[in-house]
Amino acid sequence: MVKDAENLLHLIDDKVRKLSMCSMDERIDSLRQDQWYNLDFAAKLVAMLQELMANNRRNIRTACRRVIAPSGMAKSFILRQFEKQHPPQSSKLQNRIVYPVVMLEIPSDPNVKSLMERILTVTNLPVPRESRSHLFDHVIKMLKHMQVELIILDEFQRIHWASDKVGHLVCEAARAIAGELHIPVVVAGTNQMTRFFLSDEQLSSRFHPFEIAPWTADQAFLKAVSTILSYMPLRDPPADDIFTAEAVPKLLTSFGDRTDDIISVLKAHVIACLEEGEERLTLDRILSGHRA
Amino acid sequence: MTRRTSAAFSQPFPVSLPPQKTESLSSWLTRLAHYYGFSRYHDFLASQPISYSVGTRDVDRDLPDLLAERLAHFTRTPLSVVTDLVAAEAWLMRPKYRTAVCLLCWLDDFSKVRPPYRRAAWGRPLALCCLLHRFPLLDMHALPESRTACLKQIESIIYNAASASTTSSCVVDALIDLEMSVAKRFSGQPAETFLGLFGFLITLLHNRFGLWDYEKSRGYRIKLYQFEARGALSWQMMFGNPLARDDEKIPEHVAQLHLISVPSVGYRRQLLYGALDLLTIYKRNEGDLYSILGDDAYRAELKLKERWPAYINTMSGFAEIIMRSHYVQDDLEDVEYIAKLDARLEALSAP
Repeated sequence: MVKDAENLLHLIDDKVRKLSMCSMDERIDSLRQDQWYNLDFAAKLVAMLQELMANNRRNIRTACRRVIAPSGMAKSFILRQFEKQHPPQSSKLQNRIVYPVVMLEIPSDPNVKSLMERILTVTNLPVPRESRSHLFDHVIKMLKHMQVELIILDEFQRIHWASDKVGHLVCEAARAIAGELHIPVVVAGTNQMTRFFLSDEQLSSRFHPFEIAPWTADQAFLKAVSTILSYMPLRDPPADDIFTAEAVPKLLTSFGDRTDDIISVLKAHVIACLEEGEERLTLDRILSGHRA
Repeated sequence: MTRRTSAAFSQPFPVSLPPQKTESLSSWLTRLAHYYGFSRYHDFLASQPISYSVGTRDVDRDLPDLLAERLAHFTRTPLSVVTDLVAAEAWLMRPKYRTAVCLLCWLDDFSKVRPPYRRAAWGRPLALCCLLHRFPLLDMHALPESRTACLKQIESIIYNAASASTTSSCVVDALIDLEMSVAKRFSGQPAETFLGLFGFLITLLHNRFGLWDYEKSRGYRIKLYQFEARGALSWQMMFGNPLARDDEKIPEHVAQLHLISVPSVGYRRQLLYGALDLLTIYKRNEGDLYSILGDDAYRAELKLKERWPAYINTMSGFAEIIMRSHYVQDDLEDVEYIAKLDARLEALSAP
């Protein structure tokens, strides 16, 4: 029986419902693309960033954050989505392009100079060959002129690879940017960066932690699985036994405790379903490890 | 995760600094370069994202289409505005010597809250005075950072900046007249025609200042003169470059010399020097033009050195001399003499 798009209430929205009525190839193509899943922790992270930007306009002391999460928790994806929500805008009045949010990965060879150069590069600015201090002043001037409101430094745990001194200088540069520009700076990375912040009182008080923990066998995990599945364009709802208390530890074992893994495993199962002409995902399929 | 790719470089610069209406292209590029943290516009153009190496190319005369397009794109400036900045005529100083400025124009820029910039007209070889402010053009290599810095520069050159437009008006008039009459005479003619006058100036300078003991390039210069004496180089080859549009016409061995600025005679300064000299010193020596250019040249130069300080060979030095009020106006308002000078120039520049 062919279902109407309106009847597919197990799917999150009309866009996914419409997609579920498409051909198998189209649905598989869409599954292979990046997708935003409205998970609780992602919404909280976005709300925190919004609040940071909004409050900064009112507060004298600039609040900063360090987002700590293990690898694979999709923090970079979420932060990048946030950046996309605040794209550069052309201000004809001031004859310039305003960058509300600047996001970058810190360089693989982290030091203050390479960090400053990366900031210039991601904002489409030429990189002059200057000394570290001159380059820092230049970057501050440029960021001021671009009216940046928030800077996100991703993969910040890379400072762990540098010497202690260089690592601290990079942290200090991040703090100095916040201080000079009076804008929040968010550093994001794994727990490896924490020691640099804890060893300096000023840094730890300025960069409050925002932690994203790996998934555990609890209701939050089950809710996340349910949310992710509601974005998968299958015409039949998932089998009920997936959402039982007994299934939770088994699912966690099968998926792993990282968001990226959960999503990719579920996507693989759904693609396998579609290729086999199935429209319903079952617990057996997931637990049997049967994948495309 | 989505990464920024090289495609992101196709985005224009966040901050646009539009060129001013009368600005030269190199001035605009220099302002852009300084704003984006570069000391030279060559490095700015060569770096990402413009990535265009201009080398020794004179962009004021010859702007490649590709570079024009990139500049227009990255600076969000209409292409026609960019290409209009290229000098239409060949009458430009060589880039190295395109440093003349009117400090009062720069003061105006500060007053009108716009960045100080170099006017395209200042790059012409015969530009001696700002017609707007009646102020002699001075050689300044760097743009002033502030109005105060600009004022200090003026104060270091002249004692009373406010009197710039009123003192020595006769000298200023003579300079402007000289500039305009010579420009008119050569307007629309090929650059080679200018070499007639240029040859006169060279002769003048060669006779008068053959020693060149305060010039670093003296050794090279003497060598060049020897080349010329033996017929190895013509005057045109040696001194044609400042006005030549097409470098390919210059023989390679001469081009090599050009690269180290050997044939440079800094002729705008000398032109001014010559004009000043003819207008003032000539009378004081109570001789005539021919005696100064002839056997008495050495003696005349000694007298010059006694009277004028060593820095006279700079435009700043000239300005100081011009602006000093110790020149009695009556001495300078010698209509008969100026007419004589004009006639002399006319005769010398005639084919």
